[in-house]
Amino acid sequence: MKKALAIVLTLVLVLSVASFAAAEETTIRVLTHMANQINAIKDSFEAANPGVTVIVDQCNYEALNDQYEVLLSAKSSEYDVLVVDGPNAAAYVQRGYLAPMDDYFTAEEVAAFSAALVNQGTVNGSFYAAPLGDSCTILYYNKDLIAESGIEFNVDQYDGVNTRITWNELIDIACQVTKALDPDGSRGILFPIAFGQVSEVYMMNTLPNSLGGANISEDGLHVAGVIDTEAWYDALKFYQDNVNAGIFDRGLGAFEGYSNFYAAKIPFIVMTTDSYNYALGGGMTPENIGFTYLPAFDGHESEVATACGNWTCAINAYSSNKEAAGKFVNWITYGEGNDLFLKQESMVPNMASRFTDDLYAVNPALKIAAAESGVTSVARAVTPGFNEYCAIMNAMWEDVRNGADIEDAIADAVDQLESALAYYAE
Amino acid sequence: MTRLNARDKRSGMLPYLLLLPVLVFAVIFKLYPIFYSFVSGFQFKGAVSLRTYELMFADKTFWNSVSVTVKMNLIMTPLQIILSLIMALMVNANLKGIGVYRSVYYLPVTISMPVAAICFSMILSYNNGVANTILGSFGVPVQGFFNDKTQAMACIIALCTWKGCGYWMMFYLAGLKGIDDSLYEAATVDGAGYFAKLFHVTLPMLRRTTLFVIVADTSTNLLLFAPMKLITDGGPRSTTDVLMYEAYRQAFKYGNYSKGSAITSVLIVIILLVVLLEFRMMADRDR
Amino acid sequence: MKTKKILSRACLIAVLLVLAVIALFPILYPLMSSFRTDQEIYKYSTVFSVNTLWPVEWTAQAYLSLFTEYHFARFFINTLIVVGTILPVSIIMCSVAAYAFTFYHFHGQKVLYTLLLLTFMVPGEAIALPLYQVISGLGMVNTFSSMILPSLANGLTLFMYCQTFKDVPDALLEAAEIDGASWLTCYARIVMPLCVPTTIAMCLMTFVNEWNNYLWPLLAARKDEVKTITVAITAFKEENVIHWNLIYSSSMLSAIVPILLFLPFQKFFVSGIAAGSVKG
Repeated sequence: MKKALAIVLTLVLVLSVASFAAAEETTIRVLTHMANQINAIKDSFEAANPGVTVIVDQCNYEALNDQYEVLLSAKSSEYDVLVVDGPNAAAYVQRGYLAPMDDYFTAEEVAAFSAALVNQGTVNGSFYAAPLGDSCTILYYNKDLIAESGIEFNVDQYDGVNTRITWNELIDIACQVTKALDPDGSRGILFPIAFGQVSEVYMMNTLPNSLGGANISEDGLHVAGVIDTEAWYDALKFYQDNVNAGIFDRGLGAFEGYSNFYAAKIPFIVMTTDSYNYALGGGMTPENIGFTYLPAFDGHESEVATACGNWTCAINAYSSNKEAAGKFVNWITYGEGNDLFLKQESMVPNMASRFTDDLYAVNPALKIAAAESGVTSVARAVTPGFNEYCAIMNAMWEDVRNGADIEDAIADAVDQLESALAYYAE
Repeated sequence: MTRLNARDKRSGMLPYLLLLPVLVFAVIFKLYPIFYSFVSGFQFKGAVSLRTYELMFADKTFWNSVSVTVKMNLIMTPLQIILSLIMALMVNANLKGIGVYRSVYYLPVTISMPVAAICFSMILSYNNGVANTILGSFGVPVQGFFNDKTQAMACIIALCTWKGCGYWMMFYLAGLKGIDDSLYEAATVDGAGYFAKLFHVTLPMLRRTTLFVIVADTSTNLLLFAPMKLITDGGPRSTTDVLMYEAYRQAFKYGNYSKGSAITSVLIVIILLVVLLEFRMMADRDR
Repeated sequence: MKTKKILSRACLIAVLLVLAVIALFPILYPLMSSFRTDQEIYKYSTVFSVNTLWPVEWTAQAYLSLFTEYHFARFFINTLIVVGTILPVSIIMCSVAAYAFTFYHFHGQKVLYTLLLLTFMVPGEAIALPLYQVISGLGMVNTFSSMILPSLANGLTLFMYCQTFKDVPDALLEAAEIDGASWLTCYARIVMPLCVPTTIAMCLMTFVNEWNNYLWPLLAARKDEVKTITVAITAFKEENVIHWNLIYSSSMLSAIVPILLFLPFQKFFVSGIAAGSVKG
């Protein structure tokens, strides 16, 4: 053992001297939609790793997936590190876009991450996508609006583990609040309750999940018998009824609810924990941002599910600097780089040990994430056809919201997804 | 189209040399990618196979897209052509300051599609769109527009017509400018009214312009997908899921380049057939 | 007779005005919104009133921050570099090819002409993936070349010049050739000066198309050093925030250049297309 270590050390020394002598500089390129945040911390990595230069390129978040398809189907080695949305990892591995990272992470390091995050980044036993952070869905409310309405709403009674508000209670209170604030509609309160990421499986699937429904079959290749079940019919009916009643938002696109909440046009909204900081940027103050645990369905309190998962770092399979890229990915996800990153970008930490009082001081909503993480959190569908799953299921949610017949909508989605996923089964 | 004269005998390689730059660029940046695209359609997971086409033709989504594409074009293309002809006839009038109207009608053409999409989704928004507010003041209930499966396609057609008509109008206007005034004078002497002149002089003289506009407009509209990508995502209930958007989705969202290519190839074949048919129909009338 | 004429004229003007309102209205809302803050846009968005459209507090802050924070001057210059290179090269290349097609007779002429026109009918979006492979194979990703080269050969320009050239009287060329003029002299001194309207029309069309080109630059040129303005606009829709006033103001900025260019030239534009498309 000692001998092996000595050899390795010598090798490292020789290699580093050699590279130094040849003045060989390694440059690794990172493609992300968070270039500002990563650029702000990369100096510290470069200082710790002389000879390695990190260049970060910005790509608009909506175009990032398109960009990866174009780059990687052309086997481009332009980028070494790719910032990938967690559930996409399985699809990318299937297409041969990502390199395994088992050489750059020890088993202990991988095990330190939250289990759901490790699970989504692992394909066929190899670790491909290391989490930059996690996320958690919670319920926000505008304290000023509630106070103005004079309706009693006390969240201190909820501890998340045993007690939390139920949907029926919330709907009742939200309607009272809206009625008190805007009895004749002249004030322009849009809806009592909104879903920030409406018609996105990330947030919407928590409804059927909270009734015990699963997202996809175990092997990730079927939805028949999974989404055409009681839990899904009930959840979709519950959702559609409340949209039709004017209680849940309609007509707003994903993320449009955010700005309307900040502008006091919506009293209650489901968003993610990091929205706390965006709300501050959008003109709210710590005094008027209220938040509590995601509601449960009556009689299904023990089944409640919250969404989780976030962006990950992966290595391009065609990269010629995998070694340096691996070091960087380890640093920014497991290593001290992640602590710096969390200060730049408000995410739920990717491991239990990173929940600290310092973080809570910046974003108190993270306390809720700490309670939910690993207890109620359900990862998004793990499937090589995740993009198809998202496109078809998002459309289904949107159609149901706009009044489509629920049985038809589910039957269509099952039909389309079964035929799309059959491609991966061959 | 070519004139035979003394130049031809001495030209030798010269015309080929003059063509060379365009040819080289066309081959590298157009012809090769098109060829590659056709070939990719005949691959399945890397191997040469007809399986991609087999799966595509068995796919309900594909046939839905075919029907959506055909329906959209049957409405949109004639609508745009008739509207732009009417607009051209109007801005051809001998009126002071008519140039201002021409410019105003052409203005939407200069707006890029992402910007146009933003404008229309704001106006037709379910919650606070100006359109719903105006309709509401007449007692009409709130409309879904892009969110309503019976209205979404109509809204996209409205957007594209708004953005497209000014462009085709210019071609018609140019055609109108080329018609000899003496023809109208002769018709007036014969006692023809405005509509008689329109149908017996103007429209026949515009045949060539019309052919160009029809062909160019058809191919543009058959390949349209930007508004679907930017606004509706092919929904609601797949009512705006045109073939080109499906091809885009397969290639860019699902990473299934073979299937995207197969759909594109089918589209290109459809376009060529339609264009040939249009040529044939116009030529028949010529005789 | 006279009253009838006045009446029909009044009708015409009325319809013209209505159409003008339809053409302008959709641009109005973003234009007004670009002069307000994000908070204000949302504050007055519901309960429709005059303030939904008309800013309460006018501010050019969005426009200022585009240039101070978001380097829009750079993106403007980049777009100008790309369009400014494409314009002359494309016009010269295509008109020279049209010259060959019109004034010479050679083997394979008809086949080549048809093939070229058909090829150009296939839009860039349909072949973006293989085109990217070509560009990446040539090592041109994230360079100006990646945006310039694929746009140089243009089917519409070629077609329009072919149509225009047909009207150039043969006698002019023959006379010049008897005097010993080369093809270049004929092209540059005789044919092109006769086709100025076509050239202006094609310049305007190419300019507007390239200025608004969106998907391809988004894929091929991501870096700030080469990013164009249509791509830059998309950056304001972030994962958790949508900066509407920046989207509106940058959209208006990008629209203003083609509009300003088009207005003074619209007269030539029509006569240019007229020269190209009427006669066969």
